[in-house]
Amino acid sequence: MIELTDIKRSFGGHDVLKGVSFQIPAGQLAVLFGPSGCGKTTLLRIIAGLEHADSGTIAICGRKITGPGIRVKPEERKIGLVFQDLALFPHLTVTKNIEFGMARATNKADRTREMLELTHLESLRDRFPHELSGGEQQRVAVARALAPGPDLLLLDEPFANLDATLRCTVRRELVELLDRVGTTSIMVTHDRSEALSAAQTLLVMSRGRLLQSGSPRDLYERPSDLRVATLLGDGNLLDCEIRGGIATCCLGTVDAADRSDGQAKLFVRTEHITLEQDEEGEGTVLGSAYFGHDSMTDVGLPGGKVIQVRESQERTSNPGSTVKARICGPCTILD
Amino acid sequence: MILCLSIGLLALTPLAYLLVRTIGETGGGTKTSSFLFSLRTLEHAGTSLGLAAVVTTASTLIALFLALCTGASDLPFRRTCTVLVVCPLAIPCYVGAAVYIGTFSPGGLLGGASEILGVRYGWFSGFWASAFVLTLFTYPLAYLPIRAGLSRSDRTLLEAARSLGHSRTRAWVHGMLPQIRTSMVAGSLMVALYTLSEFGAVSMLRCNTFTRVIYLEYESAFDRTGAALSSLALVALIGLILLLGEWMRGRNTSGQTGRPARPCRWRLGRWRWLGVPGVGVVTLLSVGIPLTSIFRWWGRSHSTDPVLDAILPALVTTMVLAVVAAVVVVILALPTSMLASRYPSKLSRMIERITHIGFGLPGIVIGLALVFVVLRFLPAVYQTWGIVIAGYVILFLAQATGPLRAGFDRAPRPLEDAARTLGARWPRRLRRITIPLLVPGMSSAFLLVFISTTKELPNTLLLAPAGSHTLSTRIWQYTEEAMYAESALPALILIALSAMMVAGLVWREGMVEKTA
Repeated sequence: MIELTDIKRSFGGHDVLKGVSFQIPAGQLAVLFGPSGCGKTTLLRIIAGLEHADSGTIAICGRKITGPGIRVKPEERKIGLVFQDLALFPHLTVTKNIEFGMARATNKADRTREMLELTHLESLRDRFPHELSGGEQQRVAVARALAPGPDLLLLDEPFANLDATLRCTVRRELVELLDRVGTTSIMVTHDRSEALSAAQTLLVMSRGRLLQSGSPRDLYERPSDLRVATLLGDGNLLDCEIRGGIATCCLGTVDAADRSDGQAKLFVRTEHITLEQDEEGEGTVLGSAYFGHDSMTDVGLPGGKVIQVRESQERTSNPGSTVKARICGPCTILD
Repeated sequence: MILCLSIGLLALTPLAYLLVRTIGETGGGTKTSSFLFSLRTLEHAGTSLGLAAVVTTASTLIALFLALCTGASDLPFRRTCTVLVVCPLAIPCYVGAAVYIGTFSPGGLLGGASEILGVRYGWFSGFWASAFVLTLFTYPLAYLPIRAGLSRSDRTLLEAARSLGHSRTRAWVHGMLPQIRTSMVAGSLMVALYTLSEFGAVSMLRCNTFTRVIYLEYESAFDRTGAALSSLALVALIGLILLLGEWMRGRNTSGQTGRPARPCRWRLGRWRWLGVPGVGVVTLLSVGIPLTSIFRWWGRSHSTDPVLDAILPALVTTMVLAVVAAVVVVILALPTSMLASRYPSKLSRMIERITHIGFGLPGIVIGLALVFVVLRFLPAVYQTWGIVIAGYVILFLAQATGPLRAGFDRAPRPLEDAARTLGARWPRRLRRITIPLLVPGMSSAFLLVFISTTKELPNTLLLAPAGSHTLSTRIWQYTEEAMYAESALPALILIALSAMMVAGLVWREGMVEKTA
């Protein structure tokens, strides 16, 4: 369990972190997601103790490690960190790298063997980092960070240096591994599919602030504001009018039970709209971009509004055809 | 930071003092200007510049020819040739000069040639003899960058020029030459600067360049102000050449597109065997004749015990001096290299540049400047080994910064951070991470300074305690006294030491592998 309260940090008059608070229950994998430069790496380094916070407190399992007058050194925090460029020690073998953090451990050999097994590195134990592939190096970095049995594991863009084909497999392996080991972990990423697929708790950051946190599905389907909504995926922002608990927009009506009457905006994901061939329909297909697994279709509506719709490949509409567009999934009313 | 700055500035003090004192003593006025425009000065400047021009042109042409043969053609025995043509680097210029003087003297390897040609002994001296020797032993300085430039060059540009309808020659001029221009300029610049700073060879061959004149004025006439003025004039010339180089380099025309280059390779066809005699002649003149000559003289001398009596102490002095100098230089270069690698900023770059100034200055000027400073402020250390080492530090600080910086680049901050998050306190971080990663850089810095120190002549000659000798001053003394047989052994030892460095250099550049 880790708890952050109102962490602030500025560099040369520029506020990088403007008061970030959150807590992560023990054993969970949380993903800190946000665009490049939103302060997520700085936050990670502050948690690790490599950077200091201007104000705020951090506590792990009730032990305060950052706070007014308290600044526990990184080497005494028991927090593991997997660096973006991995930072493997180039002059040490895989085994020596993994053993490095267990200087005073009594069961060093057993623990090392266990880590090698967990990360499937037994056959590579005597290699040097430069003799390993990107995915193998990444596993060594994770094994090294986990070996001393840290209270918390931090991962800074752990897949940044892997090529796209490898990423997916390595990510799945890592999530499984962390689940098995049960260490509380925070992973930083700017890749939305990585964030959505890996996280148990998703924390969305932008410009030094935490915008929203919760389960990936919650955040994707019910974002608290437009920024969270667009950071997590494509969608259309439509004008709507709410009257008597019903919101009406150009694509029809949706339930808005807890909303007061008046004008609002409706955010609908591109895949939550269906198109039907209909001579009577109001929409005209303008064009379509084909992506293989699906395609993105632009539909012109009366009044010049253009919406984007993600269509599965077997039912891609032909440009020029007349269609009727309907909302077919969850959507969010934003103020 | 402050430490680094003070080390850098300390290295600059002698030169600054030289400037201040000279201006102070001459009132900055009439004497300076009458010196500057005297016929003698102009003559020395002309000789220095002329020699630099001739040596640079000849070296660059030879280097270009050899680089094309060994690096961009299907010349037979290319790997052997590549190694052969860098060999002259192992022979310090003054050793080469000493050897050639011995070769053409009575009883020398080619002594008979003088008789046959009907010229008097001692004909091998002066401007053209200096140009000959310097060219033979400095062309590798131009060869290495040109060769590296060629292997980075891209055949595609040449092919593009040809596909656009240019002839082979025109395609070469427009598609190829611009790609290696930068490295050619860099190589020529190194040869020019080396020639201007060279002291031993020009002095032995009695060619009146500034370096020789400075020594003569200092040593025989004790005209210290004259020597100081000549030094400043020489420094100004070097500055001029550096500016010229900067101007010639111009825009970066290497045209790197980011794609791995496909180096050029010409089919020489039936001409391919013609390159071999070319390489052969150069190697014969720069390595073959000198080595044969040395061994011949040595064969005549090595039974005489007095030679060993004189050489052994010189060898011990040289070794001890080189070890001490290398250790001191590496220690002093550590903070600057760390600053440059870990905290890159305008200031740290400036500090690094300052340490490079000593490298660009002739040893004779540094030696002279140190004499002035010491006599004025610390007369007690005059003519001690301490001051000799101070000279080496100023001369070779920049040599150590390069490898050390690379060492620190291998042990960057994130690695230490990683060790911290793994619970390692600073003594353990230093012992397990930083030092092991720094060792290769430190050892190559040490080796570089060690070898440079063993070969150094002018600084040692000027500052060493009276009556004591190193290998280099022994060679100098024996050549001055026409004792060629005696100089063979120290020359051999020096060449063997330098050969170690060249071997290391070739190995590090991975040139042999790249040629394969």
